[in-house]
Amino acid sequence: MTAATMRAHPAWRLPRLRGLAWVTWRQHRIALAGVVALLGGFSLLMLFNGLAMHRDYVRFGVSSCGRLTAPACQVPVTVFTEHYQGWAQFLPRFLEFLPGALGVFVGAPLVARELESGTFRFAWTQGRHRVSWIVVKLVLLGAVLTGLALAFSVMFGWWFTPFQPLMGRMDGGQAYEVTGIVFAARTLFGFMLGGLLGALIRRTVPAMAATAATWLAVVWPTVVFVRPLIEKPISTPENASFITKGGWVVSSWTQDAAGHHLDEGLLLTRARAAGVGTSDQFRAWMSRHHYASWVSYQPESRFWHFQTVEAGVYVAVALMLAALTVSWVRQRTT
Amino acid sequence: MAIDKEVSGESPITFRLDASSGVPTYLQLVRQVEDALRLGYLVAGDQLPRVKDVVAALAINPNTVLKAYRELEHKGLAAGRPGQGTFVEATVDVVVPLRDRRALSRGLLRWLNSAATAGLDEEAISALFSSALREFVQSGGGEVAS
Amino acid sequence: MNVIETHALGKRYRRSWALRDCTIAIPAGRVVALVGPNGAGKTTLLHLAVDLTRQTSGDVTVLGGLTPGSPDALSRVGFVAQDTPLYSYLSVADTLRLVGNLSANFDEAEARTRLAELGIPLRRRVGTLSGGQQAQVALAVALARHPELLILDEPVARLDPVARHDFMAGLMAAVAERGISVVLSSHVVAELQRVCDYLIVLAAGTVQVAGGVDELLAGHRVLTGPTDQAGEIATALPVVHESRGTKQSRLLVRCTDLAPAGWQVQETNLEELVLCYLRSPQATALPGPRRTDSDVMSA
Repeated sequence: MTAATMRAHPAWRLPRLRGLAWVTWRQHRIALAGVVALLGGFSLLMLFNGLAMHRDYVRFGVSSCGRLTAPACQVPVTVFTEHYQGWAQFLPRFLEFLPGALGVFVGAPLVARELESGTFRFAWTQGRHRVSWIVVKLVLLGAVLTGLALAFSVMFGWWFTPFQPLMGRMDGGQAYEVTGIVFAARTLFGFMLGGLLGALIRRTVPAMAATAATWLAVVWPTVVFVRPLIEKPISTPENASFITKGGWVVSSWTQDAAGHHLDEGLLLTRARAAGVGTSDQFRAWMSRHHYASWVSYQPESRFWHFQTVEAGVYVAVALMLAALTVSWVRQRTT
Repeated sequence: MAIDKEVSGESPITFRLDASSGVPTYLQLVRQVEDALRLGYLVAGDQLPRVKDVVAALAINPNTVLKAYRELEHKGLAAGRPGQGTFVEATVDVVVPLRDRRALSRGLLRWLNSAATAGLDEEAISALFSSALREFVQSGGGEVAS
Repeated sequence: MNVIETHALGKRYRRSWALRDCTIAIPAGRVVALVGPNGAGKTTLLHLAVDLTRQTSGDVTVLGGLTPGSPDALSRVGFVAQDTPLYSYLSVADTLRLVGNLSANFDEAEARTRLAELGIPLRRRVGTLSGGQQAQVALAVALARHPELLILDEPVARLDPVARHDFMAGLMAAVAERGISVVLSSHVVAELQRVCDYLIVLAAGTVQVAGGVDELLAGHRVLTGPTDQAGEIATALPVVHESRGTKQSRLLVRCTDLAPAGWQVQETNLEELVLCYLRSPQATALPGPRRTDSDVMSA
């Protein structure tokens, strides 16, 4: 670039979009603005709440009391969790549905709106092939959405930091779904799902409904049924040291010395028959008979392994859906 | 929206189209030029309306205008100058000596009388004449097929 | 060069054939009218020519052998779909920018000039314009791409008479300036004669008539004469359509000079020709030896 052109194009200007990139931007800038507003709004919320939370983490003494299971930490931890546990439990449960919402509102109308209003007959006959059209849109919008989702996950991760040692991130249906890379992978999946369903259903509102339903129908069972399969949970007797390791308890039971699982109801009846009244007596009675409570759990240390596997599957499926959408646009249309 | 329907001021004349007359469009244009020549609106050297302007005003196929101008060239009334347009070459001289005109007129009255005697009214005579005239023109002015 | 050439082109939707065994060769430099009743297959044929749909059988090429949807075809063929779909939320100016970003050789200045002459404001959203103005925007955009072939699907169907006139005037002016080939479909025949010089009649998915308007009109005559002789005439000449009264009949025939004794001969016009063919589905008027394939001649 010569000095003249540098003066003409000051460095602070955004690069000018051309061709299908400009078309994508112009047609979806409102949807993208909505996404930015939505994620940005929650980010601001987490910023203000998080700053207070991080400050109080230090103020209440949780950060300086040593090991969190030690008696010295009991009071600070209790005070802290009383203040913020509600946030830590409620917010992720709400945020985990955002990837589906993004897919519904950005992905579903992508092709469906064009088909429904007939504008595809205009868009696909102005000199660019419809395959180029759909590929550029899927790539650009998919990349932007995934990038925004990743940034959001980072923001959430920062916000959640104080709770990481207390609650861990492995619990299904909570922080796991928003931090890390699964959130972004699910966003990409939702977007591509919306794109394909929009092409197949051809009507915007039904496509949006179908995308929402399908996304839920895919995501929820993977949390409940598939995730435990990624790696076999560890079985261990329940003890205090376990609880603060921050793991995700998959199931719990009582077993005898030989390892047979016992029916809890039966145990209680027998214990009452033996005259047990208080929980201390119950614990003593249990240890006398060598009965122990066991849990099977996924430890916190497996967080990144699980995230990578699960995100990888979502991304692979998303790419397949994208390929199907492109193929459909190429072959069928009308 | 205001659209200027008039031919741009380069040419002295402007065309109209009678869609329901049954006369082919190009022929209407030819006749309008001939009429304009007869009435003195056009003289030798004047430019005929540009094809583009005629087409924009009347919404007709440009080939029709070209056909009309070719016909005028064929008749020797106009000539095209490459890159400039079509210009009037000669005037229509329907120079029919007065004596011949009177004779033709008398012959015509005689025919009209026999037609009336045969029982044709004004409209029937007009129809018969128009159809005979059409045949005459189409056959190139030769013998009318009976 | 043939701007659109098809060989036994067919398109089936589920069980019914929208277009069947369609073989045409439209020469360049013409304004072509594609007429036929609603559902005759006009839109299907045009969509096949611009790669908005795929054929079930046969093939179609444009501009002398290009495949619809190929990069060359996409840039050299312009298309205005039925009901001129534009993005209603875009302003006129943004619509121009959109097409400029999609099209390789878009003359935005020309489009702006044309729209300014028509008094269409650039800042208005397309959705707030009248039907006629939207059609003009679609036309301006299509013409500014400088296509060699412009295809329009029922462009004036929903326009009022003034808007119709302005639209066709603008189109004809562009044809006069640049000699582009135009194919426009219509189910209204009345106003086509002064605009079109090539005719294709499509009925029930098949081509009935294809040829230059001048040649077609020169090749048909209306014979008016006594009904009791009508049968004789029908055996001697190819009759397209008959209209019989008890004493007098009118026959539209394919002939040029035969004038049977006692019969009045008149020329026909485009509208009458089309209507007669549409009423007689068995009759066809398809071009002869110039084509590469053999044709079905009329009954």
